[in-house]
Amino acid sequence: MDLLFSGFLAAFAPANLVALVIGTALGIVVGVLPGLGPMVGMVVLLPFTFSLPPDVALSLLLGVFCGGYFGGAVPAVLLRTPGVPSSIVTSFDGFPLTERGEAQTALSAALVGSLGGGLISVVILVALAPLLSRVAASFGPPEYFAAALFGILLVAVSFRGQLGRAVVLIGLGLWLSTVGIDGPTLSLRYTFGLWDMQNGLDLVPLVLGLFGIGQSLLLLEQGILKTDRLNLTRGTLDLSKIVGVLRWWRTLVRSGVIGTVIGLLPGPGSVLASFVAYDVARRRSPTPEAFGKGTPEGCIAAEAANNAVPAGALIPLLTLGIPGEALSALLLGVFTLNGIYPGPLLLIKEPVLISTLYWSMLLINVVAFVLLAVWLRPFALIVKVPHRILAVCVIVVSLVGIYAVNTRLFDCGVALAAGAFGYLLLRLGWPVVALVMGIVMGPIVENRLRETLSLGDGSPMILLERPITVGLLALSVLLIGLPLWRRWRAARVPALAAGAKG
Amino acid sequence: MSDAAAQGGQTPSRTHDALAAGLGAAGLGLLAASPWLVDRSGPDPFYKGPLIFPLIALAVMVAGALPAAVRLLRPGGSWRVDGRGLPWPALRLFLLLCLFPTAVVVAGVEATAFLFVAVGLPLVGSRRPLTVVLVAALVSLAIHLAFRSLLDIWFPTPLVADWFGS
Repeated sequence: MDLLFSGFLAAFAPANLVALVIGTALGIVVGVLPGLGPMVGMVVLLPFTFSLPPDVALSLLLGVFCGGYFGGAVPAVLLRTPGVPSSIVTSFDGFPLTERGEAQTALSAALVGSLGGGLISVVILVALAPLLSRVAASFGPPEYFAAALFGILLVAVSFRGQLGRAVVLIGLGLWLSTVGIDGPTLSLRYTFGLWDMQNGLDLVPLVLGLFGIGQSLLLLEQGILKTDRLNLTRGTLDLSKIVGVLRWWRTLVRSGVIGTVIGLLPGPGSVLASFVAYDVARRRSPTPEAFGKGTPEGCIAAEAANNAVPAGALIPLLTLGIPGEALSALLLGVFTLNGIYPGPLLLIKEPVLISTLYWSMLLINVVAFVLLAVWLRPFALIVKVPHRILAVCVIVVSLVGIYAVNTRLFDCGVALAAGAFGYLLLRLGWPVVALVMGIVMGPIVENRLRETLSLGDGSPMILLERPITVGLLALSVLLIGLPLWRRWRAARVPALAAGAKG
Repeated sequence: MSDAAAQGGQTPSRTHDALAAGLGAAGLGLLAASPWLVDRSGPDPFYKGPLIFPLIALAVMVAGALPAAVRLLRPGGSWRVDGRGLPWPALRLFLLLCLFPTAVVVAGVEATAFLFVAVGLPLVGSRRPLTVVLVAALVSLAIHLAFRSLLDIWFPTPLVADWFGS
């Protein structure tokens, strides 16, 4: 109870509140702008967080993380252009409602869904994190290694249509994380005789380059949004509509739980959460035929689910130190840069920080809702900012931010190279997220692997001597084997049929 | 080609396969050269040493690229990506950005930011001079306020200031 109160006080401290509001507002802005999204917002803010205390830095980034999902619903409803990918599902019903002149109802449903989903997921996070942490407290290096391996496999498998590309990028990310001086042995690795390479390739320039620069270069040529019409009847959210959509509270709760559970799993992410929750809501609805034609229930389901993902993704991050997707991988980077190592001991070692995090997450959801409810029109008008100005400004601020971290020109060079590569990957539609996961997970997996092998005197058979690792490895084998078996069967059945005909 | 197409079971564009195979080849090259690119002079056994993990990472990379390399060897298929052609505005801006590290040393952070926005915007198609100058000034001011005033970050003195100072 004391810890909760301490966290409450820390969350309501002026510095934390300011960071939280700024982060959330920026998150809404990048969420509203199609083509940017919370990842770009977070990486651009990354250099600013180094001079901040960890709780304030995390509040700032979590604000962008959650605010982005709130903001993404606005263009999805008003223009059928999702600000974040998962908001595409919101547009299925949001835009038809807007076309019928019921934009206020659609936005109320989407924002109430976002708020409800966010709050439900934080409650689940608070309840589930200590339980999972208690289980994880019995973990040794082999269990951590197996869990990390399982997490990476889940991420790879989640890119079903481009598994090979995801594997290549994960491998590349893992390798990039090894460049520089190896911590335990102080040996030089892949420095190619360059002095600057000895410090390794920093996470900030790599991620800022891949997303901040790469995504902005892509934005330049795509010019995603050109619109002069915004069908808003008033500048703020209509309170009566908000009350009206609350009659779908069951859908809201169910979708919030679905989003949190999907957020827990590494890989799938918010798009899958939105689709699943939407589908479940449609099946359970007494009027399933209304879905897709403009029902507020569809907006609630999609938004509650996608906004529940951030808190869901925090559960494995905080308890196991395994990020579920790129955004939480970035948060893991912020944790470790501040000397905080997520894992089961985090809840024991840093209880106040974790408590502050819980309160901040709750506050962020409320702040995002209030900001959008009050300043709906100004936020919606952001989509009119020319994409060229946006792209050039984001790139210049990103480069200055990278230079500000260590005042090393080498980092700017790394960011530019990463930017060019990121642009290429994004334009080709490759899963850049897999590359970021590899970069962030690399040091964790490497350390756990070495510790595991040391425990087994060099033999990996130690992994088969512990029940949890055996379970996780079996799951990993299933994860790889099952789709391969299905594909083999799918290929074999027509062949057999053709053989029988012959 | 889009992801949807890839997921829909169509033949992936050969450009994708070429990129994957290129990355795989680079991985293979690094894999082969790793014993010489990693300092192994320490006393640690292989399983505790600095080489084991990079080898695994590179092997993963190569394994992931193998199917693409095999597809690339087969005839047929298209090189078409998205039909948007060469990204000239992005290319022009990127070439300008390559001068950023030099400019920041010579002119300092704020002046460089102003210069790059002022030159970069026309390069990507913004034609209104007033808007360009205004945006450049605002970005420069925002950077000064955020990095110097708010975060109190130290930046090296630009060479221009040294020249004029002396």
